[in-house]
Amino acid sequence: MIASKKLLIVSFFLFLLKNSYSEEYYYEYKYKELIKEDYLALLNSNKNFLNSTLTFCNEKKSSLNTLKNKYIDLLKYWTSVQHIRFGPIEDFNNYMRIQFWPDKRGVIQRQFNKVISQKLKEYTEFIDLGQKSVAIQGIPALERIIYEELDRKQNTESPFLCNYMISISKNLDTIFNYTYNIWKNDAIFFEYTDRKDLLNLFYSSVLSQLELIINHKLTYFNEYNKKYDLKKLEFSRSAYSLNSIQNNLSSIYKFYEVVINPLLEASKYSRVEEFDKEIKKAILSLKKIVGPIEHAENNEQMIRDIKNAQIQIKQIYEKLLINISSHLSINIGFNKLDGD
Amino acid sequence: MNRRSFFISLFLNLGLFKFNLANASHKNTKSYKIISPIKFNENYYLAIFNNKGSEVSKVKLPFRAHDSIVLSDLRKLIIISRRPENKFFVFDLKKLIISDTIMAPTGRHFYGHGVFSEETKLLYLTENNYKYPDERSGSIGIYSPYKNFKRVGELPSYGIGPHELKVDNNSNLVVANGGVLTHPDYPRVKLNITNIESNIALINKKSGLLKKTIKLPKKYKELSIRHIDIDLNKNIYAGCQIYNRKSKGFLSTIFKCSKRNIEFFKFPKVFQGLNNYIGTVKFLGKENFVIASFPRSGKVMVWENRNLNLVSYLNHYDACGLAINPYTEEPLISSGKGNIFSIDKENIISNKKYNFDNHFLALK
Repeated sequence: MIASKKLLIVSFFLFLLKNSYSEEYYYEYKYKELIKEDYLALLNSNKNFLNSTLTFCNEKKSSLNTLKNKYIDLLKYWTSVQHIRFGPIEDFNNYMRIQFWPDKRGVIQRQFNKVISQKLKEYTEFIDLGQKSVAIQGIPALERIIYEELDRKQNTESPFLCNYMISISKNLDTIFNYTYNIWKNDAIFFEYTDRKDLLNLFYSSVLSQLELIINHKLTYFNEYNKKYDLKKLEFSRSAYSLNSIQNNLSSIYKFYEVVINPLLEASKYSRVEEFDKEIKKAILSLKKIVGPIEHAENNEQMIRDIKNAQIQIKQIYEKLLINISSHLSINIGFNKLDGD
Repeated sequence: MNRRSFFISLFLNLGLFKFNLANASHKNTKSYKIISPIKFNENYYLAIFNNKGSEVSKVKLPFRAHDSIVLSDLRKLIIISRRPENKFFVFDLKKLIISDTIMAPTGRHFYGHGVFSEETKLLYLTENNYKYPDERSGSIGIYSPYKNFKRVGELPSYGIGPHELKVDNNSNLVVANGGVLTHPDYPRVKLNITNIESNIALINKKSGLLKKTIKLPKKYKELSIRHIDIDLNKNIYAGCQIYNRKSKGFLSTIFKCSKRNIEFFKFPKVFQGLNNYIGTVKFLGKENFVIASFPRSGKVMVWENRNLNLVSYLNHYDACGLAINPYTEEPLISSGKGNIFSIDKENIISNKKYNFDNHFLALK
């Protein structure tokens, strides 16, 4: 009797909990909570990276390879939330401070070279660094330090590089902390957006990321496609560009699985299965590429696979842009960019 | 006023407003052209339609365009690139071709807006002189359409990030200096986000001397003034953007600037979540109304000019461009979702494949 009473009370509280946020926005909220967890994972991954840099630089106990592994971990978690382009990540140019890319005019390299040659103390103080050019504050600058400068300088010969790297990591820690704390606090988070707009914001973020993949990330080099510069690939130095796209797509698939698919099912969309197959096919087409795509130059098989993946992803993008958005009455803004 | 009585009064006003304009539009059915930059199939175009919505012409552009200026005497149209591009096109309205491409000087790009002065017969375009990271960057390029669009001079804009500009009937250029510092190396980054200094500068267009700077009260310091219009009494109507978030409290983003003072337009509480972005502002002389678009929240709102009270609104996703029917003075609205329609929501163009860009024109 007591057990059944307890069960009743627990069920009642579960019922209340389930209904504590509007049923109408249940799926979007669920995805929001997953993103919150992803930001926490990113924050922790950066903390690990920071510890690793401290060990590498101060105690000289770990190798450059260990540092590289921690950096790759950081990339893994960053590229899982890279498609989120609203909320606190928009404050203070935070997104660009984490990763300024694409960089059509080669600003990062120019600014980075300046930092390395000047060796000013202000680059090694993370609060001062936060006031500097977004191009030298984040992940792309770390990649240059680890995969070019430290590789060249044989470990810890340069105290400046070490201090600059630590400064970047602390700067990232501030940004990730700020972002995560807002995502975990609904009262503050929903000052950025109304619940009813959450679906539109996630959806637009996903479309922007797919556009970025199609137009900038998924590329190849051969004699007919000279407009791309290998070093302008997203993570060319760490050869992580393909993994980055795969992580993006996994997160996008999660969005589809958690939000879009249930909404399509609920609204009796007749082509759910077809779309489901297409999105899985796109992910599979990426897996077929035997990366890294930094090695695609004149590799005919890889170029064919990249082109195929581009086609598959574009199909997904177009279906989301036209058919699915229309079916779910999701509005995609065109005239929304500021500065105009 | 409570929510219910507000909606009742709004409903009544909406009816009145629609009645006046609907009368005007139905009395006059003369044909006119609609000209708008569009995005279609991942490319940018200048598209021309007749007032029945049929496409007359579509010319491919190598970049996303922003505002356009008509040169009636020359039967030409100036199409200005959106920042940070550095070109404007001269479009021949007779031959329907691009007849000239004009580049900004090295180290400059356009901000997307310009104006033609009937008095000086010159074009004035807002520019970023990005060599300077301060107010020296705000510049107005001067071009002569009667000398093959040669650059004949420049003026300081007396502020950072000049956006839309107008000429008043007193020899002045009226410039909205948005106050946001940008650089083409960092296309979407706001370089002075914590210290935006926006103003409206009245500049004598012949001498280039600053006649007056209108600055906002301290409370409104975060506003970036972007779009403006002027009435015959030289009152300025300005629409702004804000980069803060809602929790800092509501700020009106549109104001009227008369000789005496600055007055902000009134927003009933139910309309205070408009995402801090105004896309276009127009003064509707015939009705003595002011109309503004809010593309982020999908609203177009109309205020009565005398008391700055809201009299009407409509919902349409991504509505941004506002143009005036050249015969009836009825406002027309364009949206990124492929529609151009009249204020009473009568569709003129509906094509989901076309994203109509921020600004468009309706011409005789």
